[in-house]
Amino acid sequence: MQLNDVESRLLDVFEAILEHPVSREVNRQSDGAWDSLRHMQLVFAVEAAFPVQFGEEEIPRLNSFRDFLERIGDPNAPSTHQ
Amino acid sequence: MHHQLTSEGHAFRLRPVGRDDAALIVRLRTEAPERIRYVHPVSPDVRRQEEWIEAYQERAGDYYWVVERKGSCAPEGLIGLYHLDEAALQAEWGRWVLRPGSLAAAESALLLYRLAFTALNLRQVYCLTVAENLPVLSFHDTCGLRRESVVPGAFTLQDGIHDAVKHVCEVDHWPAVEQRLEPMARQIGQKLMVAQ
Repeated sequence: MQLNDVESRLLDVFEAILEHPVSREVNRQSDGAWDSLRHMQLVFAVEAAFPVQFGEEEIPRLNSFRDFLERIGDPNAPSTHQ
Repeated sequence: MHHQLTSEGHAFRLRPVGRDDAALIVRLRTEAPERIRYVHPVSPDVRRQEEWIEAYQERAGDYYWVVERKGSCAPEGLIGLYHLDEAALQAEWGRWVLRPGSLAAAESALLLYRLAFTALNLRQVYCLTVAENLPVLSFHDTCGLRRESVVPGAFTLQDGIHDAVKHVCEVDHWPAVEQRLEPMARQIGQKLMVAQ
């Protein structure tokens, strides 16, 4: 399956933070390197790479590559960021 | 032990546990079974927790803090430093439990190390983590701690006996650990300030 530009760039961010190759199926439960410190590194790296800001309440719910991708793809999604 | 050691960061602070925190401790250490799977079980009886706190306050070399939000003082979790060896100037840290969804992990660890190395002048802090607790093992690795050894049968939990991985942070290495945690704590603090 062809990756679009956003997916490809997001994968680059994930691989830079998790420090190993990942697929679109990567999630927090299955990846032993995705700890709470790297989770916040991911949040800030994604915010730096894409026009998106994550709210405090949604950060703990970003548990997979797809969660981040969906949120980036929907910049108007309601955020708890006040 | 009775102490007045506190530490304040960008978004969170550590304040000493008191008898009035018994219900909070019971709640944090008994709710969300998946989250507390790898910590020693405690009685759900608040009165027994009060008795434990009273005994803890009389015990030397044992520091227990509530992690709370600056401003609101809302509790976020618990963290402790204990088994303090005054001759070797080392202690173990643990009893680390945060509420589900808390963003206090990086800063609570940072504040704990800061107290250990700057207020208590320790030379080494170590932590024992259940060998199957991969997210916490990874957290310590990401912080830059050194894996020293595997301690067989170190934990007796509800589902049996578990080995532990011992991570160590020496005072000489503390600046490198601080360099990893401090910028993250600052960024999280800025985000939470904006969100208030």
